[in-house]
Amino acid sequence: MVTRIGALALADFRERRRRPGYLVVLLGTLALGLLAAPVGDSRWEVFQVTDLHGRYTSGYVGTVTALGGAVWLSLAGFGIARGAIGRDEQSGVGRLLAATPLSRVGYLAGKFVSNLLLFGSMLLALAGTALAVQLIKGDSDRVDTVRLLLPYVLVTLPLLAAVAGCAVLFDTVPGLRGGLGAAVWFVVWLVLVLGAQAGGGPDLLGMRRITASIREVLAAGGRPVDGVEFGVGLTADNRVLGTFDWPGLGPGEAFGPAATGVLLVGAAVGIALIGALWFRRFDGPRAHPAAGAGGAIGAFGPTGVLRRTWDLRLAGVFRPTGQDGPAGGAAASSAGPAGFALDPTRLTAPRQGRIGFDALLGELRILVRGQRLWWVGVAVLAMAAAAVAPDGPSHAVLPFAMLWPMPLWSRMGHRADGGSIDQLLGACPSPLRRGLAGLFAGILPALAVAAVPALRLAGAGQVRAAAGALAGALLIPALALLCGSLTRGPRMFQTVYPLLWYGMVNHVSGLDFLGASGSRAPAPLAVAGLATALAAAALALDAIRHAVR
Amino acid sequence: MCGCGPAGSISGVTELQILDLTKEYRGGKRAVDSFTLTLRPGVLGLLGANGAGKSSLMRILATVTRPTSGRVLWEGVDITRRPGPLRRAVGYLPQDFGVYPQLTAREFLAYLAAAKGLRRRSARARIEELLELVNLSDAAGQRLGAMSGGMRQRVGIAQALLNDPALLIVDEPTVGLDPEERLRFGSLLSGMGAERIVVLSTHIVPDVAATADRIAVMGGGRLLHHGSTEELLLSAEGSVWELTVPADQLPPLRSRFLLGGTTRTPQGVRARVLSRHAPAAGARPVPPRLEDAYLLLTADRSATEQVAAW
Repeated sequence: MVTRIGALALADFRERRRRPGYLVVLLGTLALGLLAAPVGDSRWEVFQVTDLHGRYTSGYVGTVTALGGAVWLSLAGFGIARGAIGRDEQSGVGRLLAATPLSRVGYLAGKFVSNLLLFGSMLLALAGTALAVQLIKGDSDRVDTVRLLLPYVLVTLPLLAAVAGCAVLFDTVPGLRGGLGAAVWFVVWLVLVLGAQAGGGPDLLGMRRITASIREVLAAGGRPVDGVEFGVGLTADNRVLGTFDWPGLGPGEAFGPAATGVLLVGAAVGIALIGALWFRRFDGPRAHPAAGAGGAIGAFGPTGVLRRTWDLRLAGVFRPTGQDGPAGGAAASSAGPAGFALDPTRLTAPRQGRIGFDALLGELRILVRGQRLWWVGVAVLAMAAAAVAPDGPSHAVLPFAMLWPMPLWSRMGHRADGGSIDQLLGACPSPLRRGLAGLFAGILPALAVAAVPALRLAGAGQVRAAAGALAGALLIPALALLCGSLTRGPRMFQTVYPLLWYGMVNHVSGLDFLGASGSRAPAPLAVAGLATALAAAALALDAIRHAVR
Repeated sequence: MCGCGPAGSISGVTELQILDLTKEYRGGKRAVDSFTLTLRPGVLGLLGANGAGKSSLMRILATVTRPTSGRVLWEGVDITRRPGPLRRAVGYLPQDFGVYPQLTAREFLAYLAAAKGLRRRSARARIEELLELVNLSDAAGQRLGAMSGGMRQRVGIAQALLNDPALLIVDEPTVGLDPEERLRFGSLLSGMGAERIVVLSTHIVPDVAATADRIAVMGGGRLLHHGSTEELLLSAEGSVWELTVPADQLPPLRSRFLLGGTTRTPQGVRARVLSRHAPAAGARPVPPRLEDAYLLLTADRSATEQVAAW
């Protein structure tokens, strides 16, 4: 059993680490490591201690990079960790596994371990970066491997184990596999990970033990500690910071975080495996519809193996010319009329036109497919927006309305749901026009949810805010198109957009893409210009891929 | 209804020229190697073992993949530099193709018709007719995800015919079709070959024998043979023998000769032996079938040499 789980996990991990999404998150992780412990003078910091920062001992760089990694990977890493079961379903691998003795618990355990390997590989790279930063900076020449790695083992790994378990759980719940799952996870992440710093709740980041240890060091150095505050998150600070010398968490201080870590890992295993209660192991009716990616052969269910064999056997004896062997017609199914009885040369002659409105409708249909109530939601949002008066340059409904199309936008820029449909589309004319049709298909839902709030803002004399809302409605589909084109999947957009949205509702300077903060927000023309640039970049990327196909 | 000509055809003879075509993938794997052939209206059967380069060649002809070197000219236009004219004229059914499982067959065809740039009114009528052609009218509103492999294959065939292609490229099209449908589909291809270029790739040699008027055999990315079906059969004339041996004599026979098939009979095992000379006393020469000619052509060199030396 253990060997099976290990083999499954290893294969799954290998498959995923060769995907572009892995590289993107890994690069983000390494960049975060450099921001958390910058080598030169930098205004950016990840771990805040009022107006201080620590000397780069092994313990300090290990702690700040481990905390930064925990916050980053619990959000961005979740995006690439989930989707493993859906991929098995779509690729047909799931049906192969369903024909093996592997149990549901074993299968889910394999996916869980694979997620751990995914996170573990990134943490290894991050720890290596931390060590390199310490050596380059030269604050301390003494490398203390235990203190460098202890925060990773005590804090980051247990937290990411829980994230890995949740990723498996989300994969087993059909409603949480897509954009809705990304939105739900964002809320969970806000509450449990970012909220962990606030105190009072579960200390998932081990902050209590770390801050207590730093306070002891500061107090021992004669510094007042009452006003000292701690925080984890990417911020810019232009002040000249004082320094303190903290050796990091030692083995003697590990008990508290270790106990939390053990609890977290235990919970993670439970979360990952609980899906076995309802997961159908690719042999249920739900598994069949999504099995289309493999085309004709891949489309068969478990009985398809037999049917394929039947086809091959038939091929061996079938002689259309009737030379010898049983005639094919004798074995023909007599149930219903057979196809191909018409003369195709007598069918209506198709007329060529330009690729335009129909292609746009087709792309829109693909974005909205399977979500028949989506337009009902738009109508409800429109009614709510009409009923609520704007508050200065902001409209209370608009930010939430801009979340509604997220599952649709997640499908832009890639054909992940259509399997190898690129084989069919690759032989169709005018790829640029089709790309534009895909872009406008994403803009239409944005305009549908933003139109009424924009009208209300314009009616209230907030013309700039109305223009800002419309510019924002252009920006997000363009962002989705670029993210989807870059990674050929939905995860990057599902990670980036919630962060952007969070910054926007908190009126973070530069991120208010809907212009809700009035004159402090970026100019609508600038936002529209950025949208154009992002869309152009996505289309250019497609053109390059087409040129080197 | 209209008997108008196929998309992309012009008053001259439709022609597809493949000139010294090579496709080399990363890692140096050469899938297509210096392939040269000119295609005119008719059905070309493309035969070859797995990995022979058939699918790579077809992907290049459908403009899905670019060649590493060489040219493909459609009506005199290089399809690598200007793929547009060919794409308006081609119908392509790959061996493996994806679908959007939430779309119905009708919606999926409408989507691809739009992607091919067909006008909506003519496309709508043609989609209904094609659904009837592939016997899916009753299932037109059914989601693709709920369809069987055979039904989805027929949707694939329908999409390849959407634009009334002047060049039809089909890769293993009969997988999932029942025997009667396979027969009729073969006839359909033959009929289309009267004024269109049809490239049919399949492992099922009898399908090619029944449908194609010319055959190209590929091996190791190269064109091993090109000619009419009769020419290929002639190349195997006098090299096919039948011999009945006791069952325990079959393994040694198999080790010494290339066998085209065996049949159990009350007298023993009747073996079809491919050899330039009579393999044993009592062996009688029989007319070759296309499989025999194909096997003789593609058998690995050592086996062929063994056969020739016998």
